[in-house]
Amino acid sequence: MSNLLFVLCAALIGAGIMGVLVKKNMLKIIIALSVIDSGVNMFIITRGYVDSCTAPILESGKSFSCLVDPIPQALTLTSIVIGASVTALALSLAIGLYKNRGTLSIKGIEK
Amino acid sequence: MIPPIIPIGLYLFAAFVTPVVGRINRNARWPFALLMSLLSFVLIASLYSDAQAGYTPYWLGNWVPVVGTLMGIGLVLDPVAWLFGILIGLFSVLCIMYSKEEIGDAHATRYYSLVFLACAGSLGVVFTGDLFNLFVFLELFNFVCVGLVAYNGNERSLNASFNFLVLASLATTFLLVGIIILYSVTGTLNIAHIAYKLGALGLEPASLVALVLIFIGIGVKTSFFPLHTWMPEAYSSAPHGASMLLIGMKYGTGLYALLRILSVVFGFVGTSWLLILIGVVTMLGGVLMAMVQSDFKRMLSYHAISQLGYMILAAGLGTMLGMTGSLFHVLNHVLYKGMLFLAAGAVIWRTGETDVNKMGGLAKYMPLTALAYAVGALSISGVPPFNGFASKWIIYNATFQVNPLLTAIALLVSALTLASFLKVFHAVFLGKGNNVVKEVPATMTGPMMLLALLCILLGLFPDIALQYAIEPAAKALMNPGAYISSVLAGMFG
Repeated sequence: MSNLLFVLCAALIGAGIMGVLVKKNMLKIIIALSVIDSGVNMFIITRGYVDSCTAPILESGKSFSCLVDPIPQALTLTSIVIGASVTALALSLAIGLYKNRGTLSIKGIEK
Repeated sequence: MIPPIIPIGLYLFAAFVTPVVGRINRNARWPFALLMSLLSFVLIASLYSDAQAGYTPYWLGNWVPVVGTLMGIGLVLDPVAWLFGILIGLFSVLCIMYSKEEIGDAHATRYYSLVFLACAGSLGVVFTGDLFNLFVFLELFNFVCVGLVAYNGNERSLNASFNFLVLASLATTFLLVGIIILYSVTGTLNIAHIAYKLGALGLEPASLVALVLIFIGIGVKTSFFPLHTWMPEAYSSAPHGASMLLIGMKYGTGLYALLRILSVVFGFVGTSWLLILIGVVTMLGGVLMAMVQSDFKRMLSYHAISQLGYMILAAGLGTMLGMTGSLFHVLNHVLYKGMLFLAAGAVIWRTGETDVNKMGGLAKYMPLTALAYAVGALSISGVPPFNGFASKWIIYNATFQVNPLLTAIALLVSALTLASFLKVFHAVFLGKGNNVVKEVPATMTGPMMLLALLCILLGLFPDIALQYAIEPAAKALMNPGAYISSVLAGMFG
């Protein structure tokens, strides 16, 4: 189970990095960035996941045998927020560049 | 003692209160921003004695570690953190002074907010003792950098900031994955605690993967060769005051974080040929690229990369002398490079040209700017008695102890740097030109003259800086055990 998840995370991150490197369209690059984020978030969650355990919420009258690690979940929340801000910021830059150039194609970094 | 969170909090406060002040009275924005940055500078400076006394962890929310458990986020103050922190404080003051005329009135509010947020982010990276916290502050700093680079709103700056954003988010993704791997190996995020547990476990393959990922992640921010590609374009298209500010913060967020993690978390304090190799390639590559640039600020950016090579080279030697030289060079480099960016900014602001070949004869019209540029050029080339010589002399000595060939390369790069700067000095300030301009106002010459004075003073009396700031910092980086044991002091009863 856990190995399958790792393969899935690696595939998502790899696909995203590939997209950033290969694509010329700014929107596609931004989508690729958020695909990487999803892969990373999934990876963080799997690090804290323990098979057949409950969420770390204490309720009276309920007993539990084991808990999943809550810290990676908290980290994921922060990471999701950061990912959303990256997307928003990149989109606003893309809009600005589109207004200037009339195209969404990227220009390489000048030497 | 003042908790180290106070200056960070003050920057955040100033970032969000400056717009409110602007609403009440537009003319009050600049004095308010200047006052806030001066106050933060004084606060950071007043942390000096605490920092020198040793590692003083400050636990956010009073989550002091109890025996066996460490849960809170700690800010750790030590001589290295203080050294980089005071540079951030100084440069925020100078940037706000300098930017008054350049930014103008219309969008000044958002500019000051961005500057304060950048200060908060980079100061957080410098003071934090927690890896995930470091990641969050680094992301905050990256976003603000993107905003500052894109500030001018023209195609060039938007393009540079888009490239920077994509590279920086890829880099921080690597960093985050590396941090998470370390977390899953050790079960903690505190730097000292990770180091303690890794010391017990030894370097497993998983930790090595984490090391590589973190090295690449912070390497992009440090911008050594070949991860530097975003940096020249981003720095040359930012507003001039912001270029100086970013140079002042780059070493706190890049080099400092890298050295801290390498030395404390992974315990690498010996000679590292990888760092030496990166340093040599960065030195040579940076200076060779700089020689073919005709854009004024791009040339300065490539020289900044080249000088970074000296710091990495000296730090990689793994000797006390090398680390001292490296940190002293950071201090000196930030001072003269900041001044060079200010001088270049003043010239570009007055003439409207960015190409050095289209300027000329400006020494007659802008004598103070020309003076600042000359002091900066002689400092960066390592000519005595300016401060660049003081730190390069230590680096030459330190490299000579390890391998004289490295000294030869360092000397060669210095000579090439001098050639490049003399050429630009001639093109911009001497000879004949078509531009008839006035000297820039006192809010712009003031920061330049202050930095020039510091450059000369540090060149004449390097021992004072070495004794009171640099050597304690180098000792702290060379002795990670003290960091670990004093941060974790409460955990073992």
